[in-house]
Amino acid sequence: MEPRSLGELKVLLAGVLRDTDAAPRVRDEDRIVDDLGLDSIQMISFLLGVEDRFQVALDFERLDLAKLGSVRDFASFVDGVVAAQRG
Amino acid sequence: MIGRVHFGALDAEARWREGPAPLPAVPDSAAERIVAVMEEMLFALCAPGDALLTARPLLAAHRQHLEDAGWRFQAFSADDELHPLRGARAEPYAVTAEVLETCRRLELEAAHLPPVEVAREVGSKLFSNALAASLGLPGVAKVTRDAAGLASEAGALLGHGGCVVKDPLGVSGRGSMVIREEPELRRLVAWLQRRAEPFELLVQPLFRRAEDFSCHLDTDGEVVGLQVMENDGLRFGAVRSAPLALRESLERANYFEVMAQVSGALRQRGYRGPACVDSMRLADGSLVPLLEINARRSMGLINLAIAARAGMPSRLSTRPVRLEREVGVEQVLEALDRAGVLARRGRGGLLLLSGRALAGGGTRGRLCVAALGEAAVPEGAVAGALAPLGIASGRAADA
Repeated sequence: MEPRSLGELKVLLAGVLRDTDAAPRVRDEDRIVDDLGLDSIQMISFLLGVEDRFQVALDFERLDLAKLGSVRDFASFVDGVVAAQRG
Repeated sequence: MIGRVHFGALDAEARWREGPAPLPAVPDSAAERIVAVMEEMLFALCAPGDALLTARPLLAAHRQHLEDAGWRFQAFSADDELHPLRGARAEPYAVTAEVLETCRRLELEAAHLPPVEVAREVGSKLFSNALAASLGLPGVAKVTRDAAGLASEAGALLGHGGCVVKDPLGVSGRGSMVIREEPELRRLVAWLQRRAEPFELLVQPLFRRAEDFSCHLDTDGEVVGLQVMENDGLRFGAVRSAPLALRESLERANYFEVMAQVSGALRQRGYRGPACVDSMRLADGSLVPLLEINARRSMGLINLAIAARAGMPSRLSTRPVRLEREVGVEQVLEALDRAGVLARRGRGGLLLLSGRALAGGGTRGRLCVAALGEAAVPEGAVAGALAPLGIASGRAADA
């Protein structure tokens, strides 16, 4: 089953990459760092955008850029945070 | 008898930090592993009779490549018997608590090094910004210490092209945020309010830059050279030997008089050591001569040393790469040699500056090279040589 946040995360990623047309080209299996090439500055903008869009608080310091995995993996993670924080 | 020993981690600013970072930061274990081995690049500062000290030994194929290209130096790693270094003059990348502990443990000559507190203070953007303000220089940032102040200072710049919010101890690629739109500012302000930690941040207009360059000061505070910086947004991209025309234009603009004032201010504060002053020329032709002071050695200083030793211009870059599979540095060197782009003694080409950084982060690495000679090494030739090994550019924009 597709994570609920997947589509909106692709839009946010496209915005951070400053390519608003990129969302349809971002694949579920693309790795956020290795394939999309987000650097640490872009990652912060992306994560702040995630917090804002989904009204959740992420513990940045407990994440690891090297282990963020694919867009789909991250969407599943966000779905879990949303479920936990919104009850 | 070893005269000087070059060593020390390149992430000095992170080691100077005493509290939590004031901007959101996501740890990156792969990048940390890569940066840790990039200390190998300090070989370039070794004069005859000097030694390089690294945590892990240089890879044999890399060492041979450097010798073939004309760099001979003694290399030690933490695994070696280190008593031959006793009494050698310490030449660290930066003065940190860890460096002073190494000096003590290995009995290196360290009396010439400034205290860590002084290096930390003058290496902070708060120091360089206050100095720029006291000298009446353009480009001074506003310092803010609360979320409301940030919202006000940054908000005022949003209608004028945006701003850059800087961590006083941030470095290229980390510790800065470009804010162009109100939602970005609102999210950062919300994060700072939620965290509720004291902080200091600098808010600077987003300049329309035409050229980044740096001026390098030696331990005596004298200018040793200029470097043109090729930044990718806020990230370090490359440094290259500056053309004579840049020096001449800066002389006409009294830039070096400002550098003499910067040098004097560093010495007055008690800093004795090399420094790199980052500067910028804007699209309208005006200068921002003092953006920040890196109170340490730098990529630009390493490139100056490489160009001087090689007797030809040099361009140093540290390009992120992705690795599809395990690859050895000897395979990479062979591929570059077959493509005819590898430097040899007296012949331009690519000099590999760190063997271990290439695959230092597992599937991610950093290709740290100096391109020697007037004729640029074609990007296509390098990419073409590395592609069969499963090595590709690490940035989507470069792919």
